[in-house]
Parts: sequence; C-alpha cells; structure tokens
Amino acid sequence: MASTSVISATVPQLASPPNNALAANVTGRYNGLKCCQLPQRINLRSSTKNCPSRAVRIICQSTIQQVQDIIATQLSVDPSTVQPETKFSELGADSLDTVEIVMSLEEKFGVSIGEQDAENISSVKQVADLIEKQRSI
Amino acid sequence: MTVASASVAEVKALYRAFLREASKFPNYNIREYVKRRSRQGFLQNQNIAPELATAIFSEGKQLLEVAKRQTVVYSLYAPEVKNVMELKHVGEQ
Repeated sequence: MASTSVISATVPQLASPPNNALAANVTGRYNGLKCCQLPQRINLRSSTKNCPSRAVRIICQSTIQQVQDIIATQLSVDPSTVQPETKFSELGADSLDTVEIVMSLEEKFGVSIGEQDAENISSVKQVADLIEKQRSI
Repeated sequence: MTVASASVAEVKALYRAFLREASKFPNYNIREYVKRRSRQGFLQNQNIAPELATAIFSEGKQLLEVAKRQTVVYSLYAPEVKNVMELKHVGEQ
C-alpha cells in the first residue's frame, strides 16, 4: 500500500516538465529558470514550432554556454576567457586543436558539421551557430 | 593521380577523417589509440620541408585506409561489456 502510493507520487513529477514546456511555449509565459532545467531536446523541438523570441534566446544561450565550457575544458583555460567573440587562435589553439575541438563538439551534440563549414571556423560563436543550425535540421 | 603539395585544408580534412574513423570503433582502447596516434603523427610532421610533405601526406592517406578497414573488422567482434573507462559517474563524488 505504502509503496504504490510512493510510485504514484513520483510518476506525475516525471510527466509534468515536458507538458509544462509545451504549454508554456504556446502561452508565451515562460520562467527562464525552468527552461534551463529541462532536457535540451524537448526544448528545441517545441521551440522551433511556436517560439516566443525570449525562449529562443534562452535556448541559444545555453547551447553557447555548453560550447564555451567544453572548449575551456579541452584547452585547459579559464572558462571566463572563452567568450562568443573569442577566436581559437587567441586561446592558444592551433589548427589541429581547432579540428579536435570541433570533432568533440560534434560528438557531444550529436551533430555532423560539413567540411566546408568546418574549414571556415575561427571564432567560438561560429561553432555554436553551426551546431544550432545542424540541430534544427 | 598526381598530387600537388597538400594544402592546409586537405591536411585538416585528413585529420578530421582520422578522428571520425576513431569514433566508429566499438572498443575504447583502439578508439583512444587512433586519436592519440593521429595527433602524434600530425604534430610530429608539423614543420617538415615541403618536398617531404607530399610523401608523408600520402602515407597518412594509406593509414586512413587501414583505419577504415579495421573499423569494419573490429565491429564484427564488438565487446559486449563497456570498458570501465567509458562509464560515467563512476567514483564521482
């Protein structure tokens, strides 16, 4: 008896966050904090359909945050030095390091960036934009 | 096919190809080895003279072919259990 009540108490919690996301996106009211806690995949799918501009900015922000964190870890630099406008050469990465970073980002986000696009990468923001583009395809 | 000296873009594309092949291996060990060895090989030959560059580049291409064949072979005998190094959250406190 006690165990079944515990189970029924937890199941609604698991189900509610995605419903909140879809409902919130439709109504346009969105708590920024809740957005960050939700799984990325659900956010992006629902946001590309009917997204208030504020939600899109929050989601794009968290992608570039993740990109910045990964780059800082790979190059062993302080995360605060990695800004969207920073170039890889400024962070002390040569072209081989850049290729490695792009590959690890591809793996992390599960996207595949084309050769042409990858050739022209020079700043952090470019990588984040390419990832966003691939994810929304 | 006559190959003019390899451009920077081709070298980067070759490195990227090595890393992509590495990720196709089901075994942690060989995957890490390919990544490590390809980085080592490219760093070693960073500053060589252009005359030698073409030969080394074609050698690199042959090694890429080797890696591609090996992904097929290794995936036939994929391990059933994940290597301990691949487990996340092990010992994290």
